[in-house]
Amino acid sequence: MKNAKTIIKKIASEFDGIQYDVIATKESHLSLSAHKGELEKYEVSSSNVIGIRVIKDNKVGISYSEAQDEDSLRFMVEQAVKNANFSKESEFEAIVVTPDEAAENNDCLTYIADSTSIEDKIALSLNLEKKMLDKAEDVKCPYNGVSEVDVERLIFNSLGLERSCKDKYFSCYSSALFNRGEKNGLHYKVSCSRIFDDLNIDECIEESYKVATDLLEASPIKTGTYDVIFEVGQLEGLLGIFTNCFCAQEIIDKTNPWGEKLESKVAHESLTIVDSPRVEGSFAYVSFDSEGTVPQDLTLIENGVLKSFLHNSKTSHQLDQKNNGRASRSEKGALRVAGTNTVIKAGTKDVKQGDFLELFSLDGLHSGANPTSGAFSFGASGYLYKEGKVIQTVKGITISGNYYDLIQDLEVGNEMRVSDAGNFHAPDILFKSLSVAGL
Amino acid sequence: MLDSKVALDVIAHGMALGADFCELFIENTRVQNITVLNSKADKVSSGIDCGIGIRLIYGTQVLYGYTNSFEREELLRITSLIAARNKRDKVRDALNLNFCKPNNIHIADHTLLNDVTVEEKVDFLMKIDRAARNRSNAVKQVRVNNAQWCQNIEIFNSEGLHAQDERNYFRIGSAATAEKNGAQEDGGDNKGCLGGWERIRNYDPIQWGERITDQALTMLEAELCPAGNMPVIIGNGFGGVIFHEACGHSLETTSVAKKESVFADRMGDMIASECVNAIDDGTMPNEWGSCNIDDEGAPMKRTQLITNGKLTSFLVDKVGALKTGYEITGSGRRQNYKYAPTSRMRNTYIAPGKDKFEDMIASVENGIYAKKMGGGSVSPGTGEFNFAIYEGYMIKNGKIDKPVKSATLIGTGEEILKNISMVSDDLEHAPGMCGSSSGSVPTNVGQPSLKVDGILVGGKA
Repeated sequence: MKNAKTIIKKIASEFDGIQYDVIATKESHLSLSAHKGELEKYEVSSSNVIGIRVIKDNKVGISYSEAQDEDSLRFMVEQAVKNANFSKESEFEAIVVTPDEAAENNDCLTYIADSTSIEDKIALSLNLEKKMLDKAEDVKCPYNGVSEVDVERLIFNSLGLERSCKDKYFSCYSSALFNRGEKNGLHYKVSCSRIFDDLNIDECIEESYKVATDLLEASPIKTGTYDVIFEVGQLEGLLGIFTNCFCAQEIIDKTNPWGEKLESKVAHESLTIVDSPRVEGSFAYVSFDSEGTVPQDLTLIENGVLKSFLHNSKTSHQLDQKNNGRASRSEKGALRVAGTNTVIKAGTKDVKQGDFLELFSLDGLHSGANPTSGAFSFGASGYLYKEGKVIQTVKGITISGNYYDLIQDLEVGNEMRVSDAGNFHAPDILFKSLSVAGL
Repeated sequence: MLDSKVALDVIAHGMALGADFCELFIENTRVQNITVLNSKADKVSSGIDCGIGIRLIYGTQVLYGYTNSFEREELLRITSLIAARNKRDKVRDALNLNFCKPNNIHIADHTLLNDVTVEEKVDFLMKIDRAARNRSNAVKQVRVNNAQWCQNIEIFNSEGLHAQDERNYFRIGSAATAEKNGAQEDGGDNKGCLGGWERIRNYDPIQWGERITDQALTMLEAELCPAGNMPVIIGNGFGGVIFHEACGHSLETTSVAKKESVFADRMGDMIASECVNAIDDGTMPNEWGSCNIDDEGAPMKRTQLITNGKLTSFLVDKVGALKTGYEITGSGRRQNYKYAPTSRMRNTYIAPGKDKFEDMIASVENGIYAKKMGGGSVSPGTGEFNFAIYEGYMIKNGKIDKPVKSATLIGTGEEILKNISMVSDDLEHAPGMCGSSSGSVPTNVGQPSLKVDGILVGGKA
């Protein structure tokens, strides 16, 4: 990547009056999965991609290349300049982050080197499937795998900023599938870690097996309204659909329903949500954003009141609010904003004592919700509780509602849960009176 | 794109390591994206994706690697790396290469390589924007995006295949956001084809803009959908996502071969109502899911999946054929060089029947008309699916009634296929992107309007 940086700087210097920033990423992957005791998939890869954002006469042009030779990089820069000619003028988008601004945090805090042999990684992949298949004669393990990702990222700009980081992640997952006549049960569980030996295959196997077994006897419940607790990964998925209400860019685009609600009550008073870039152990640990700005903790909702939006340099300039370092840009895309890790503050009450529905699976998160209106409707599976005890495994139901109403009526529990990738921390939250369709 | 001598060296190396099959998939794709927002060209971007995927097969085991490098030494290194655990004495030699450039039936004149002007595209997108805004003062925002790309591929394999193809795509996505009393709703539409920009003449931008505004305005007036099991008329075109999710994925040999599809071992069985005929056709000229050859170099085919309710074919790629013995159907597809190919759908649809749409509506006393479907998903292992209704209406006493929102349909594939009681004559196709184990690929869904006698509809209890 250093060689590409030198070439791009030289080429860019040939164009008068341009500002630019560049994101270069180098990744390598290993992906394994097993089928009936044999290694079914073995994939290795290495890839590079470089993307440039050029600003010329207040116009923005974007281009990228996966090829790293000088001709390709020259074509990339020329295309970005050419693309800028066609864009509208924007007085707010500029290259503004200087080397001084980013100097305080110039390291790779999260990277942990690994010396595990490939044989040991293959052994884990085979063992993951074997342990599941050993549990019962008729259990299948159609989806399983072990993967490793190494990523290096470099950002530099025409003001002399240069920031780099690298990281390494491991993950594994297991599924359990039963087909017994008309009865079916399928469930997955993932484990993630920066240390290979910390991958917890036993937890993957035990949880996916137990839930799949429970689903064999699952049935719908009566149509009606129920109080609902979402398993932490499902809650992350649900809230993730509606993050547009925190995005300053969506205010500018006139698609943020909370655009005029800063310092207004938007949720139940017990709800406090913080966007926290440097959560230890998280896969979303962020030392600097896509413009090179160093982000700090940001309270989004405090006691139900909307306190902040997510900003980059452009949105903060345009809306005359403070830049909080939430710029997000892929090598191939335009400048946007995005959150980092989400932390929801715990309450003081155990909310799992009464009658409620706990949902461990939501189906159709990608298609069953409208972020603009807040309306959602998903297929779901879970457990029905009575007086704090499980009395039925439930599937074949749907839940429906409106997100902006949902967060008005809830109780925040006292026990914190963490998502598999460590980037979403939340207590159990009891959402009141959701519509459930079943029998 | 890749020197044949280098390709032969890499294939020879793979075979020397004892592989039964070695393949190189070379890709160079040029991409351009234009977004119109706030009635102006907001962003123009472009780029080049390029790289090489190397696949080795030992028995039925697939080993895969990819790189951005076109250097011989790097390709040999990747080949050695992926074969490290399986290498053995050579079991067969590679055959001599036989170059084939398939007959191109998907004509494209104004391609990205022919440099269609950005101004021309922005002008079309702006017409949609203006028509949407002119339709109603309630429209607060319109976003229109055009993506055009040219994918050049070259495939070499140890069975002597050397094929090249060029695929030109364009796609337009659009969304209008309308607001009333502080509530916002969206209307949207997407179109795409395998062809050049000249095919834009098939679309009227004025009608397009008005259509997405009308949809947003309709949804502003919509009430929450009632919950319960009821008859559903699924509209034509994108309603075909129901077959795609509820059945199509479970007919891919990727899951069939492992007996992890509910339709494995069901060949020849009645899996649907007798009025259902389903086809997956990769040969339809200029259709979104078509190609001249698949991503393994096999010629495209038309595959009759279900005939009068009976299961008559699966979707079969090379590895699926090795594992199941079924003949390859030209269904080996991948998003790009970063993915090993697997069996995937192309242009999938339910064939038209003889019923009339009006008769279907008239036959329902209390039910839902799902005029436009959103996305959905399925678990092939259990056949359980979910679909979102994007634009829906109540049916009361045989007539279309008030619009409804926040509705999802759930069930199992076989259950819904057997509950189809009427198939109309108004077949339409609609483009979508299908995500699965070999990435996201352009796929048409399609169907005439269908009546399903009972589906669980999620909504307000």
